[in-house]
Amino acid sequence: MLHFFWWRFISLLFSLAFASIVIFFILDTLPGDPAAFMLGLNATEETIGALREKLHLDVSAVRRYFIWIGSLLTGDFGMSHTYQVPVWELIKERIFVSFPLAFYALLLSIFIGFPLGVLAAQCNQTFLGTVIIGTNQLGVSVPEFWFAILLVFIFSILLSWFPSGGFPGWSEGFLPVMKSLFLPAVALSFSRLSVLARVVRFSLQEAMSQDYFRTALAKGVPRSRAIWYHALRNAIIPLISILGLQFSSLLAGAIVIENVFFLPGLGRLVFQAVTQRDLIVVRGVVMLITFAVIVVTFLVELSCAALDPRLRKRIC
Amino acid sequence: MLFVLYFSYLYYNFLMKFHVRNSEKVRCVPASCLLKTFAFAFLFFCAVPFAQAEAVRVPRILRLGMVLEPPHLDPTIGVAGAVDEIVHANIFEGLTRLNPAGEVRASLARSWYISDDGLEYVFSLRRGVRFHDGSIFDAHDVKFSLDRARAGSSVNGQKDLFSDILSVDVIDALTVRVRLIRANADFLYNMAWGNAVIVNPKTASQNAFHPVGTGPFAFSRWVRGDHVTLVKSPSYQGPSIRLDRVDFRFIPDPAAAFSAMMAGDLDAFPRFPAPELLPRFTSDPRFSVIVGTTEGEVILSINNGRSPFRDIRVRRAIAHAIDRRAVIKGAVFGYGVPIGTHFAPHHPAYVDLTSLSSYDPVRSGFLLSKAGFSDGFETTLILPPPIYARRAGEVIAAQLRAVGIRARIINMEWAQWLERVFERKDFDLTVIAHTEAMDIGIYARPDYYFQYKNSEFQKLMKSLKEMTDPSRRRFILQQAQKKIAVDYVNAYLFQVSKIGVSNVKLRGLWRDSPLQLNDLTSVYWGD
Repeated sequence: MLHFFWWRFISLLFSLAFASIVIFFILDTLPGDPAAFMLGLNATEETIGALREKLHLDVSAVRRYFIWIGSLLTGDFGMSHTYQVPVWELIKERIFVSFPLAFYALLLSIFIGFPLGVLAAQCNQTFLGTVIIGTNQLGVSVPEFWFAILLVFIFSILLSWFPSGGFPGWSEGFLPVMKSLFLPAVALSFSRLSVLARVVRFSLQEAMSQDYFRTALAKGVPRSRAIWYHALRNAIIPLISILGLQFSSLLAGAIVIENVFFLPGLGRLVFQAVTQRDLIVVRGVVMLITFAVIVVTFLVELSCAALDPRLRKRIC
Repeated sequence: MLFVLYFSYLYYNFLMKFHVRNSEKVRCVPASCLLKTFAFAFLFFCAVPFAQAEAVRVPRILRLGMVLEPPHLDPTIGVAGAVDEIVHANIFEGLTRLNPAGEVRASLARSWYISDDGLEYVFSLRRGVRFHDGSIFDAHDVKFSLDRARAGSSVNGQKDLFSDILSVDVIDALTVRVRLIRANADFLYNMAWGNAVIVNPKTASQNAFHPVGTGPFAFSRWVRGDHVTLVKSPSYQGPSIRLDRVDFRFIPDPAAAFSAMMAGDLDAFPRFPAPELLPRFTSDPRFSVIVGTTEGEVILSINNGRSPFRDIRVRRAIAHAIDRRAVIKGAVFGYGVPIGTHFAPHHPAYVDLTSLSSYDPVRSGFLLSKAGFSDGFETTLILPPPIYARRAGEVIAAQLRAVGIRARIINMEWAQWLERVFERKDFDLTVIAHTEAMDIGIYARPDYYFQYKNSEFQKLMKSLKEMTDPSRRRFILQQAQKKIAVDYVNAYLFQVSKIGVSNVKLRGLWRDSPLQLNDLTSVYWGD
């Protein structure tokens, strides 16, 4: 297991290094002089030159990359040009919106998607099963932003149960925050819980058709116990991989939902920074999200390996 | 709450179903624990948000929507208009201010005396004014603020406003004398800008994140990315303020702005971003739609320094090929006023010159053939990202094609547009709004991006600056408008309207926008 861990850990470092190179150089090829852009219509040549120097735009790209990566390693994300505050301060504020939102959506999709999948597997080819499968199909195919707008229309405009968007800030207390994150979390989780339910249903059905399941039933184990103890344990491995993927996509993919609900999350920070050519912010946030995604993937692989000894052996 | 409990009960039963089915007699503890955990977690995360009691609405709160979040809150640095929309006239005050009609009125300066040669201004200041941090406002603060703005190291976004100041002297605690290098008729007007507000020397360096001014509202807090809150200042002694708190909320997405208004999460959106959604507000009795004027002129800029546009006949042909009504309808859904020159129609000196460039494709074709382009020609039309420019550009390209000018549209990002069009002047045609007030002076700058070089016009602008007599000024301004109209420098399209949406009970919001600000001193909730 230890060997497996180190092996994975090294590949994690490699992925991070590779990602940082890609992020840096892709942003470097954006057209337009960022210094001139940031300073606007009335700037003189002199101030533009000074800013170029401050942004290290006057040295070669490779050297700039090492300057950037060096300061990242010491925890210095740099200074946002448009906001004139350290990038880390901006990120810190947004993390307390984006991570809770991703986590909330993930919990919702687990708490609803998982039982739905089990139920669908149990009630295969009954009316209820068909309804669940149909809803899942809908969930997978309806675009997220459209569903979000529908939610706003019903729950904010017609019923006035929830605010149409915005984030009151954590200092307002827990309940207002949860209230403001509820609709975005539901919008985010709808398609994900459908995917989850489908995966649970398929892998559970597959497990239920295995010999060991039949044997368990034959020796007198009640059906529900056989499902919970024998089938589900084997069916859960693909589920963990899916959850890992979903958490990553929730972190990086919430940008559309953040726009619909005007939430000040990481996605909107990146979006704003791109439109204002605040490349320091863009790089910092994209790197952070990449880091989170890679770490989550790493954890998922570790837990899969812990659950399934075969995975460990294959690599070691 | 009942709803919540019922919902959770259903969910719990639903979970228990798989557990109990076929196994009434066998208890399997871990699974049932798991199921219970699921049920409670569901109750917590899914149902609790429904359970909040109705929030009590305090009527003296105002929630305003804005599209852009300002990068900081100091109006004296940089050029970001979003800063002024929050702080100007609310947190900070200048020596003078503008009334809704755009006329100069007293503010921190109670009155002023101007010497006969127009070179000396003596301001007497309002007594008993305090900054929000408790310190007393006096003449030294005025001297500090103006000297800071015009200093060599200043990063003020509008340093031009102060370029004519020779010296600022404190005469006594409530009297300040400003000497000018040359007479400047716009000086009092310039002092009403957000970039000329008076700041406190002690707190000036922190204004970007904790602004301290003398205005009716004091800064309370900034939840970055979401809102800025101002509260009524207890030390303000001006006319009574009838709002206790103001939230400026930032909503960049037009559809989200619409839902926020519809859901009642906002009370007003002074610069509503989506004109296409306005009919929904006009037909709803809960809202009033306020259409006013702005200082933004949208023009089709022509590169006067490049052939074939050096030829006035070609420029004139372009002007006659454009049907402004169609452009206004297509670009801003009818919310714009046609202009025939680079000047705001609501200004008293405006002359209507739209007939000089009336829609006349026949004449346009005739002018083109006289200029040697009877088969038309190929050119490019570069469009920056704002939606009005993209939409107007498509309408214009179609209209130009009708007279034989085949304009290929190139869409650009802001950075590219700035670099290529504005700095390198490498373009044929482009569509852009010039949003600054009284900016006809840009036609006197020979190196400006549309490259209009005319010494006669430059002389006009020079004499305008030195002229203080209002009727003479008006005459010069009218001459200037005519000059650029008959030279067909650019194709002048329309004046942008300011479209605001507000709760029907809200009173006192400004209709027009003489400067980019939201002056809330006279706003209140009616019945």
